[in-house]
Amino acid sequence: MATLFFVALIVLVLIPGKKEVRTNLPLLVALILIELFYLYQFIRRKRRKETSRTPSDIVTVVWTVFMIWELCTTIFNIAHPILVPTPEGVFHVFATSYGELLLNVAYSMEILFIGFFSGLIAGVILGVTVGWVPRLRNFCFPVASVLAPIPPVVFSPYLVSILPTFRSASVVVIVLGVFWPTFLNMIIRVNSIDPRIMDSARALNVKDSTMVWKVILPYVFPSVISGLRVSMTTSLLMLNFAEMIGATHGMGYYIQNNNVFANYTNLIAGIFVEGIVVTSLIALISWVQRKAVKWH
Amino acid sequence: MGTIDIQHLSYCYKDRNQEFLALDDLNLSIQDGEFVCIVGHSGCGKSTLLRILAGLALPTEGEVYIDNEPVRGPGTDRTVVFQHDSLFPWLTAKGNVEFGIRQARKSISKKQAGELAAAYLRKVEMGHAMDQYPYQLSGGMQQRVAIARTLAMDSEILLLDEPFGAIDIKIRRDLQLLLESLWRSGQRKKTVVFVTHDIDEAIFLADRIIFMRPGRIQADFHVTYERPRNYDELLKSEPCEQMKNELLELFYLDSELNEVEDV
Repeated sequence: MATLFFVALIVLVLIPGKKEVRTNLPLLVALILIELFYLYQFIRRKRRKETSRTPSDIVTVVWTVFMIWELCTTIFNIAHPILVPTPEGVFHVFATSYGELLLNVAYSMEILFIGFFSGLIAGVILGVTVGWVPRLRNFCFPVASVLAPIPPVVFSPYLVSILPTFRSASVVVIVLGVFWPTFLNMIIRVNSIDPRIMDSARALNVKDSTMVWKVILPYVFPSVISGLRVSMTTSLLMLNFAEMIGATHGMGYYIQNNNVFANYTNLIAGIFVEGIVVTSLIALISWVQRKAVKWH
Repeated sequence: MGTIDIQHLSYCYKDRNQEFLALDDLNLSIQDGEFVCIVGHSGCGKSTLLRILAGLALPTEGEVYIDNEPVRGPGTDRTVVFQHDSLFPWLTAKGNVEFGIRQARKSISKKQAGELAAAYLRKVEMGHAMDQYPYQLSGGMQQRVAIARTLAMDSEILLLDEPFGAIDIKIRRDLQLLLESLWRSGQRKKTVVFVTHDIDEAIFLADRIIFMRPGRIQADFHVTYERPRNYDELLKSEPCEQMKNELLELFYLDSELNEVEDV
């Protein structure tokens, strides 16, 4: 069924439509790659004797969307000629200006990773410390509960004014966005540590640094990892938002800039890239989670 | 050495607006190498007593001496097995035992600790599951690992708080036999304080049974049957029946008392 749709789609792409397209080669390559990936998943599942129809269902939907897109643009030319670019055009952008796209992705990723990891590390270290010392906790928790819900984006205009570069402002916004939830989550987590685990640890005469490194950190680790997914999404959101307002590089800038010049073909290509990047990051986190937390 | 001396011990749980006296001027001496079972109703303070012996709670009044030293907190001269979840969920069975060994003897090398851990896990018949995480083990298997850890730490005193209370009867019997034989065959007999509400279990295991009624000690029995003991024969024998009846009477007497107090 899915493969039938694939063949139909290829035929649609190959027959010349009402609208002239420069080249359909990049689109064909992309479609074949998707189909190959699907076939790989299909065969792998079959070998494991899983009878899941999910990959076929997903790919069928994808092919349907592509067919509608192709029919509305290239074949019958009924959609708005500028606002709705052809799939051939969009995939042609990948083939020709991948350098520019990758550069913008790399630029965004740099800011994201610096901000994300500093926020995360600071959140975990300070959160565990504050959660562990009752006096600090009693003082910090109410203060943090007031500060944390302020959306970090509201600081951005001010941060742009006081910090030397736009980049450093973006980093700080991301740090804030990741830090607060992690910090609060760690305080709560350390505070609500299972008393039976604490009893065992204390009965084993575990103290101070061993307690932190060998008991508290392993205990909070799974919740740090599962929190990553949410914080990663939040950071991306804030980063793109910031880039759309004032950056001169980055994924958000690329999309916004092409919007300004009404270059919707590149804009759609940018959105595709964004989707691929987000999916890869989330997949990476899931992979780390599976590898690192074996005891759940 | 592993003598325990409890003098005028009181413990009071304090809530925001009420106080509850869990232990009230309790005195008890336990000799080195003695296997003592503490029985009583739930809420009679037996678990509180064990927590104080472990150093997890400090007495409100009175003092506990171990080898004539007052207890000020947990120490590696005592090891504890709880009813549930004594193991760290993020370590494998072997990892848990190793962790205990390295806590007890900081100077031991990682390799030696690993070998020792493996040896003790085999002693409790867990050699096949060394690399499994606690969530992959049944309750009985988890308790075996906890016992292996306790024995591997080689402390003077073992404290067990209803270790087999949540385990089904057949496996519980196996674990009781295992614990008794490991205790008996040790190079030096360790002092054991074993909290339970299972009278059969107490009679099978103990040298001495302490019956507690809320806050204090009601009765002190010496169990002098020869070891190794045979579970079925022992529990059917005449003198044993008598002791069991006495203990049961205490249990019932106590529940009547409770009811009177409740009214």
